[in-house]
Amino acid sequence: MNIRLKQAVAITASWLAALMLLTGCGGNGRDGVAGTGDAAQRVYVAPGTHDEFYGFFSGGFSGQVSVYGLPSGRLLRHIPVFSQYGENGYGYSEETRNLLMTSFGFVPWDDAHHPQLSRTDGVPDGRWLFINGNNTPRVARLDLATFETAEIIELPHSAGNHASPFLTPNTEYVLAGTRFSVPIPQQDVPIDTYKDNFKGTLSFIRVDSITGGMSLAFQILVPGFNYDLSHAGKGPSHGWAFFSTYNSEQAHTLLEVNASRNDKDYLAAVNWKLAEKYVAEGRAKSLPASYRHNFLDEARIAKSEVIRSVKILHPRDCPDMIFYIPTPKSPHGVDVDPTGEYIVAGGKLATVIPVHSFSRMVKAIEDREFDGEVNGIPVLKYESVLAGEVQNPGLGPLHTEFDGKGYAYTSMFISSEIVKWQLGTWEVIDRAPAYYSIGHLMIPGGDSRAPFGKYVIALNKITKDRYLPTGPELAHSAQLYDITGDRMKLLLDFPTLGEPHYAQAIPASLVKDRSVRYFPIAENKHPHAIKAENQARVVRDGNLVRVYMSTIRTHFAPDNIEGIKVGDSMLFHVTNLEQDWDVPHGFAIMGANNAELLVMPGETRTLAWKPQFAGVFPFYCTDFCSALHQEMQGYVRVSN
Amino acid sequence: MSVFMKRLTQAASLTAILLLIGLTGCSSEPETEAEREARWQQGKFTSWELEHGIGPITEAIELASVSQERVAKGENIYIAKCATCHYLDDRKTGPPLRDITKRRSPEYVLNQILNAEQMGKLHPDGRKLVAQYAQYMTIQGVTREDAMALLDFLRAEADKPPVPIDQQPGAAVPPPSN
Repeated sequence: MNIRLKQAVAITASWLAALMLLTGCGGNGRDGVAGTGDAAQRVYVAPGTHDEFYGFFSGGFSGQVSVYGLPSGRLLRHIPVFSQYGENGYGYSEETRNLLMTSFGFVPWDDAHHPQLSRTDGVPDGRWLFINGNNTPRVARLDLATFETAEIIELPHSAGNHASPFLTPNTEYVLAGTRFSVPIPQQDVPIDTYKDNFKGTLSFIRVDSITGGMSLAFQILVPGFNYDLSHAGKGPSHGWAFFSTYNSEQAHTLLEVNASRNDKDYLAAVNWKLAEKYVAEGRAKSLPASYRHNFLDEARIAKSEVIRSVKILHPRDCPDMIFYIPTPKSPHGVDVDPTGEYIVAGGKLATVIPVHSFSRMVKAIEDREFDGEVNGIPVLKYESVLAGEVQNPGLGPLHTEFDGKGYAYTSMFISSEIVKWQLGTWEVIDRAPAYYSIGHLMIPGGDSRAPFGKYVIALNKITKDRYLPTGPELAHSAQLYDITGDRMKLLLDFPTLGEPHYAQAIPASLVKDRSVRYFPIAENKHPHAIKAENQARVVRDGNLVRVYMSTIRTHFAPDNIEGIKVGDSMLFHVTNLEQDWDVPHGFAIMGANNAELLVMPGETRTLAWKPQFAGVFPFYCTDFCSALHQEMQGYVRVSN
Repeated sequence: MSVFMKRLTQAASLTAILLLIGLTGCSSEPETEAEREARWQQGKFTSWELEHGIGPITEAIELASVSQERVAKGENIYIAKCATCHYLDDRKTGPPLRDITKRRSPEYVLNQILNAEQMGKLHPDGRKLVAQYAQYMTIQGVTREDAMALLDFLRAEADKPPVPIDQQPGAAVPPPSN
């Protein structure tokens, strides 16, 4: 087949796929599905046995993370991160509220997009999971020993924290770039002065290699484009970070038209090791800021501190630290292959997938092959950096992951498919439809130095007719394909919580053995913990009444509380004295304006309650703990 | 129990095991942990196991006389880990414990503390208690050494007269009322 014919066929195929979408076909679409029995067998995980992988899916606009077993698609946990969660009192309890503090006050919701597993030597190590909050710029760290949010750091001089929180190969830094440029520092200016007054920042959050603790090391002030996604270099490109940009037009209205005019936008290539050196040499300026750093302390109580300045690097003062690589048509994803040589850009409006070469980039920098500059940032010549282009891949290329066997898998939003192509030859090998409108895609370890492979999962934006209808609002969908053979085979389709924007997966063996079963009561450092039932008590301090309460199957101590007055404020410090796996107790009290508490064995959690009028009000255990669970109750008597 | 009686019990239990092995058609290899659990699952117990429980204690222990040091330690552990559910002299979440060392052998008491889950799920006497109290005994992470201290505390309490509920070791102090 000659090339022209090939292109024509590929284009026709893409349009056919798009057409099918528009006409709402494909409800019974079994194209690319492995034989039904075969598919069922390959995702079947027998009752009582475990999945091979943990999959960590972002909840998108739910602000949370959900954990699935793969390949079965079993939902294992929903982990609250940026949103309050009535199910266990996260963001409501006195111990967790501070995690949601920001410079705007208490912000109990965010839009969580990109989970990132911590890594050592470029490979996921199963210690932590990082995820970004887009709306009020934040980065969270989840501890995979407890599957809970341990820390959230706010980003100053940022808006729309989308190019985040991508990690360097040894989790040295979390990368974060601003989707929205804004006046930096913030000020009251006309929006049509965008080109003069609006800037972006690229942030580098340092991660403590032992504790995982985050601190904002420095920011780079960059022109007011939209910084969309990022990935760190690895192997030979270790020490570099790449950010995609769009709106290099610097439009501030009707971006769908005005930010799509340039044939090429840019990838920003940042030599972060050099940036680190410039900071150490004192080239960074200190810029006033006000942002929060929230973390669980050793008593498992969230502390919130305010930080008032940040180090900022200006590209003009820092030669050879940052370059722009021209890249076609509003690139979205920027993905580095396992060898660290190829940088794949997903030009969402482009007709090709451009692949840049790291070694060619280094040479172009050495040879000063520049095509002008933007605000002191040299622009490299496209042809000098380009390794190749995947021709006619489909419509709307977004993101690319890798199988570690020399193949790349790119999601195509408009033509709603996954395209498998070969690194080096840039030839399309296979394509499989996604139902519908795939955004990110994920291969276990598929963004790492050594992918675990086996499956690719499509994370879709539109569900339509895939499942039984549930009114106008539908769950999003994910699809799991086998990639062990030459052709992708669709094995499983499952609904997800919120928007499964992006996901990461890791062999269960790297996580499960570190999973905490309960907290040893002797090590409970909560200042209001009690270690035995005879320490249970009610302590009044003016109008504040603290109840030091214990739980064990199947009673509270104390269970009846009198002497409370209208106008008092009560704090129930509930310590669960159980020392066994999977025996949480709940605490709920009538009329509480917050939520329940779910208290893990050996843990202390606190619920605030304000009696509003005289009477006797029950409280009870909400988590069915034993046959006498219904007996686990008590009363608070409130007097005038 | 006299030394003679102990020997006799040991001999009896050995016979019972041999008999069981005969019944299940196993070779003369010592029973593995998995085989033993499978046997318990089938409701087959040696007479020693019926009397002394199932768990880490599989043979008679020589009890020293009650040590005051261990009693003091045992009391602290009792208050932190046992008093949540037990009074000595009355029913609480679980049964009263004042005379437990008179009703059951020390080996049984230790197995109950150290292997509460299997005692409750498999042992005939343990199952009866679970049915009666509608509750499995909670696992509190008690070590063997702690269990020996608890045993001495319970031995020391066995001969004392009963006390009112609010004076039970580790009893919660009722909060003040209006």
